[in-house]
This record gives sequence, structure tokens and C-alpha cells, in this order.
Amino acid sequence: MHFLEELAKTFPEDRLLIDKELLSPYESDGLTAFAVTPRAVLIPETQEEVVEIVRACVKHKVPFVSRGSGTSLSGAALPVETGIVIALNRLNRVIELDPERRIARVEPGVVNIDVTKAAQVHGLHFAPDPSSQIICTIGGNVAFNSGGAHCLKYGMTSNHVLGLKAVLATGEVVEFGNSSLEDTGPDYTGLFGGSEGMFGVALEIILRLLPKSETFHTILAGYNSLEKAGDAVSAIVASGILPGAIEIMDRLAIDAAEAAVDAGYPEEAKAVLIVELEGPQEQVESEKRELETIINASNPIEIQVAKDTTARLKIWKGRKSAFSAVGRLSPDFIVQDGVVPRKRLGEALRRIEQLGKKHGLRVANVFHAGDGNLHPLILYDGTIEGELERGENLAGEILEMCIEMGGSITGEHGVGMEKRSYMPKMFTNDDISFMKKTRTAFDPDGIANPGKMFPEGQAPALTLYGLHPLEKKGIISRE
Amino acid sequence: MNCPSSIEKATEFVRGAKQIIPAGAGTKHPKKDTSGTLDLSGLSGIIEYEPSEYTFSARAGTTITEINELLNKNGQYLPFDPPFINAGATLGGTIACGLSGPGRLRYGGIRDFLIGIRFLNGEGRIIQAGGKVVKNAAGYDYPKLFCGAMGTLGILLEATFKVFPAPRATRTLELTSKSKMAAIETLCNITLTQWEPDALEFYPEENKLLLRLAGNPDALDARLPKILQELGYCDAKILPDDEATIEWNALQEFHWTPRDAYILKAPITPKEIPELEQALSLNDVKRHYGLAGNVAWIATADTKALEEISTILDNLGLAAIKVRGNLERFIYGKTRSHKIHGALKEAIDPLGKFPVLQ
Repeated sequence: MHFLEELAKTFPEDRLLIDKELLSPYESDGLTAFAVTPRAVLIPETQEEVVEIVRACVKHKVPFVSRGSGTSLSGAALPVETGIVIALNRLNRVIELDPERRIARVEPGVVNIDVTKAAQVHGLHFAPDPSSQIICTIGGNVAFNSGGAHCLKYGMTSNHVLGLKAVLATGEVVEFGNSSLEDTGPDYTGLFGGSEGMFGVALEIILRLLPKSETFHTILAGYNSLEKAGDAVSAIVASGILPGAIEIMDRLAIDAAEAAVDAGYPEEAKAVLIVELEGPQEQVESEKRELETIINASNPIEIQVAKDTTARLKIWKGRKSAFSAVGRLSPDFIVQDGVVPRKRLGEALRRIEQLGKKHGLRVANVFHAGDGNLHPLILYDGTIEGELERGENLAGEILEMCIEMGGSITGEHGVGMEKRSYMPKMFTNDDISFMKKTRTAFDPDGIANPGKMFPEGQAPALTLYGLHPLEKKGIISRE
Repeated sequence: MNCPSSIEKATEFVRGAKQIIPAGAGTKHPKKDTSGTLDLSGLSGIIEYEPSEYTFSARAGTTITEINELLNKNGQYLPFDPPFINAGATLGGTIACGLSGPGRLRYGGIRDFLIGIRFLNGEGRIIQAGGKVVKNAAGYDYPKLFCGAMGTLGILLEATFKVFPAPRATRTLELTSKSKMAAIETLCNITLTQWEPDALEFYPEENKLLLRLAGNPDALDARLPKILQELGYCDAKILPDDEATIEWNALQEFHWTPRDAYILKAPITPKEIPELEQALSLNDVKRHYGLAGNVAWIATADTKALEEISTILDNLGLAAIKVRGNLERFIYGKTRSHKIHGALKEAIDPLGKFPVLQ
């Protein structure tokens, strides 16, 4: 029987989309440079239905791309023309939330922030907090090992995944890990995390929850140069304090955030530094004094200390809205997430500035300074001939710089479509061929999210970067 | 036994060998003098250490003592308390066994701090995975896969770890309850507080908990009276620093087990402890529960008892891995068998040179 006819027996018309106009919302994800219309979109409501879809794909050798909210910035959920998209948003149950074991067992379509919302009655929270946390889903967080602002102290998504159940691209349903912090044998859960949807589809994920910190102390310092902000970071790191987050934004990013959310950032500053201490009251109190001394010695032009939760959230709102806010400064932009060793941050920023000048494009910088994770936002206008190409070249040169400095091409967005051509610059042929062999065990037919991570494959034509079409219309946002 | 002094020699051996059993210092699984044994203790030394980056890279045969001495000088540490340090444990062996100690509770275990590896696959090719920066999402996460793989997937050559600034002080509380159940209840209560316990261990035979807090000395001293008050329902006392060091060291080195005992590690949750306790205390085996009731360490010197323990674990749906003892068998209790386990092993080690985890 024909592939789609077979699935039509289970899936009614409104959950098996084939009309062109119904497929269009699924053509792109957060990386709007690429758009592909899939053959169909399947909307399962149960884990069994996901298994049925994957097994049908295996039987008919049809490629599948699983997708949550489509917030990927690396083109993770870009469809394959001959394949289907499995939209997992309706698998959004928190199956179990156990304060005694401090775990949540959730389905992949659960929105990141909803885990914390469900856990907070017990004083618990889910630590990984990507900027898109109010819409991005756990399935995507796991597949791409998402980060956020608190990775230095708490690690990335994979560090908070204890176990999972998944249907592999062989059709086999497997369970890895368990509800304990410990495991036996090879860490298959760890391997599945960050595998970019190329091993199969997670059906259930066991997440580690942590008690919410007793208190926070958030400080924002404005500087008349990026370098001074960077020096302050070095001084904090050298002091032995371990803040929950250390973030820097440059003037262009500050302008964007101000225009979008009126965060009250210093008007004169060329850079702002956000440092957040968190933990038991007495410890934060003690570190606060030390931090104050360090910041005062770093020659800031202005210091804001969040007096209460409202003020703290206001500071964070400015930071977390920076990406979409940059859309107000420029019709299109490219965002990268390369990593450099922390001590070379200043040098990296200077070089990015020079590269921007060379290509005649503006670059806004927002970055997780504590872990050297850059986020240069390259601004361009896609309607001006040659600007997109220049932007692409600039982005590529920034990634090459990250590799040359001993860093990584991606800190948290994953390789996806976007950075696959840079993989051979970071890894040898042997490394990549080893990864491919590993993938074959999970996906012998190469049907799970094909075309991502590895450098070969036909790339669809570039369209435009920047905000998602629905974002531009103001229908969705990722504040 | 082969003890290569360079990566080239190790590569040469791997290319020529039919069966390979990697070994480190032999602190957990004694080295056997067979033609397939590849002793990696000769490949040692720190390659790179950047205190400002919170990272170091070292060869797999480097002892953790050597690492700790260097980190200590710079006010940094490996927060997961790797075990068997005094016995001479190496980085490679600790990774292969996936071992973490009491400190895992707060910031995570060895899987969470290992950020990059270089290893030899069965074809004798050097594969590099992960990276040297604290944040990285490029490529498959082999560093995690290799944690606990028991040398079945490849030969570790080098490892890069993330480290943290060491806390300036610690305080240890000994909490004694009237019964096991009461102690477990206290343990669960503590894990839901905002004290951020650095370590929390349960001694079932004494109904005792050992709680470690870490931070600035002034902060700890300001907090302790409040904590003692909140724990008023059990017998709580603050251990003097030297006594506390001995206690924690004894746990990290497994001094509570007979010297020649097998040690099993079984992931567990606090809820499952009472049943396991009841079943195991009948068999006169030593137990200790670490990580706020997330791991059961079970020790016995009796091979027959090992079989009985395995049945008990299986009945309770618990799995265990042998972290000390001979090399014959690693997996005890409930086994989970998926086709992917075999397929992955075959894809990674097509020539079948490395041991099979059994």
C-alpha cells in the first residue's frame, strides 16, 4: 500500500496535512534562510502514533524530520522534500513529576518553561533556559543539547537528562538511563542528547529538577568599552566566585533591546555586563560584597543592582529579547553561536568588529561571557544585492576564527543545516566517518533528519535570514 | 601485557591485536597478564591546563592525584569526587568505569565534567570528539557515551575536563535518626531545601546521614545554626574538620568495604531503598547509599553472594555494574537488552577487538 494511504487509515485529514497552504508553516524553522515544502505533515497525539509513523517511514524508506515549535537557529527542523514532518506539539504531557526523586518525566512536545511551571509548587525548577524557553520544546532541547544563560554553572540540556524512551530510525523502541542520577554501562542517554534528530524520536524524557535558588543577586554594569566589560569578566572568574550567569551585550544589541522592551539599560554605555549570583542567602550575601569590590574596580560608568524580582526580570527581559529585537534594527540578520576560550573573548570581539568593517556590515554582539559563547548578530538587508552573500561570508569567517582560537563552531544551537560545511574544519575525516558509522547503527537507511550535521547533501537554495515570516507579521515572537 | 610509552606504539598495538583489554592502574579491575592487555598507565601527563578557562587536558593514564595536586594549587577542583584516588586511579579508568563520588550530588558527575576525548578505535585510528571549551554542541557526544563503557568501545588516549573553583570551606553534619525510614525521610527533606547540599550520604547500618555543605566560611557559619534548628528532629552534630576529612576520604576510597570485596554500583532512588535494604540485610553484605539515595554501593567478598545479590536486584527491577573485582562479568541485576546495543557496538568496533559488556 502507498505510504500516505497507509497512514491515512490512522490519521484523519486534520492530522495528516498535504495541502500546500497547510504545509507552509512547516517550511522553515528559526533559521529562515532555508525553506523546503515537505511531502506531508503528520500530527500525532500519542506515543504509539509516533511509533506507527516512524515504522511506516522505515518500511517505505521515507525520510522524516521531527519538529517541536520550530525555534531552531541552525535549521534543525528543515523538512526534506521527499519526506514528512512529524509535528510533536500535541505530545505535551508532563507524565510524572516526583518531588521525592526530583524528576519530571515529560513528552517531547512539552514547552521548556512548562516544566518549571509544573515543578515550582514543589520549589523545584528545570535549569536549562534557552532564550526561547517560553516556546521551545524539550524534544528539541534534547536533540540539539540546547544551552542558555546558566550553562557555566549548571551545564547544558544533556546534563539534566537522566533517561529517555525513544523510537529509533530502525523502528525499535528503546529505553536509556533511568530516574536516578547514576547509570550503568555506556551512557546512551548522553549520546542521544545532541544527536540532532538523526537517531530517532524521543517519546519520553526524564529530566533532573533542582530546588530553586533561595536568593538571587543581579547586577548590571555599563562600560564605555567592550574591553572593560571583558576585563571585569576575567576578574570575576579569577576571584573564584561561580556566578549563575555572566552576560555581555554591546551598544547595538542594547539599542535593539531598548527599542523592543525598554529594559532601562544605561544610555551612554558601549557595553553592559550582567552578572547573577544565586544560592543560599548567606552565600550570596558573602559573594555580593566580593563582586561589588571587583565591579567597582573595573571602572564601570553605571551600576544597577536589581532591588527585587521585578527589577531582576526586567534586566533579563532586555537580554532575552535581544535576538528578536535586533529584527527592529535590520530587515534581516544571521546569528552565530561559536565559542572561543574565555581569555580570548576581547581579541575575538575586536576581530569580529574588523571583519564587519571589511564586509561593510553591522554586527551586534550578545554573548554568554562566562563560557566564551559568542552570539554575533550580522545585520543585512536581503533586498540589497550582494548583502546576503557578504553576511554569509562574514559569518563563515567568524566560525573559522572560533576554530582557529581552539573553540567550537557551535555552543548551543547545534550544527544543523547551517554549520554543516564547517564540520570538516573542526573534525578530521576519521572523526566524521566514525560519527557516520555510529549513525548507521541507529538509522541504517539514513531517513532520520537527513542532510543535517554532515557536510554532504544538496542544500536547498538560500532565501532570507532574519525573523520568521510569522514573526515579521507579529503573530509569533521569541522574547 | 603491553605497556606502550607513546600514542604511536599504542596505535601500532591496536592495529595488530585481535583482542584488546584496556587497563589503567588496576585499582578497580586487576590487570591480567595476557597478550591482549593494553596497559595505558605509561601514557600519562597533563597536556594543557588553563585555570582561567576552567579546563585541563591530560593523557588517560594520568593519576587523579597528579591532577588534583595541580588543580589545588590554583584553587580549583573536580567537583564529582572521583573515587579510589589514593589507590592510584587514573583518568582513563575512572571515565571507563563512569565513576563519581559523593560530590556528584551538587553539580553533576563525571559525564557532566568530561567535555572532550581522543581515543583509538579498533582500526587503530585516532578519533577526537567534543572539544576543549566548556560549552560545545558540535558532533555526537562520545565523551558521555564513553563514561561507563568499561573499555568496550575504544582506547581512551586523552581527556579534557571542565573544572570549577573550589569552595573555600566545607562543613559536615552527622545526622542520626531512630530508624532507617526516618533517616531516608530526613534525606528526602534535605534534598528539597535551598541549602544546596554539596554531598549527602546514607549509612544504613547506623541510620546515619552525612551532610556536607560548601561555600564561604562566613556564609556557612551564619547558616549552620538555622540548619541545625531545622534538623532538630534528628540527632545532629557538626564534625570537626579533621574528622570530616577522614569520613569523606573513607567514602571516596571505599574503606568501608573489605579489601578483596567485589563492589557493585546500582542506580536507585530513595523510594526503592527500604525494599533493597530488607532483601540485602538478610544476606550479610555491606551497603552504602550515596548521592542522596541515588546510588547503592554493594560490597561482598563472596562470589556466591554476588549471584544472590544479582537475583535480588533483578527482582526489584534494579541494574548494577561491577566497579571493583575481576574482569569476567560486569552486569548484574536487571538487564535491558535492545538491538541497538549490539548494533552500536558492531558499528563502532566492527572487528570485535574490544571486550563485550556482559
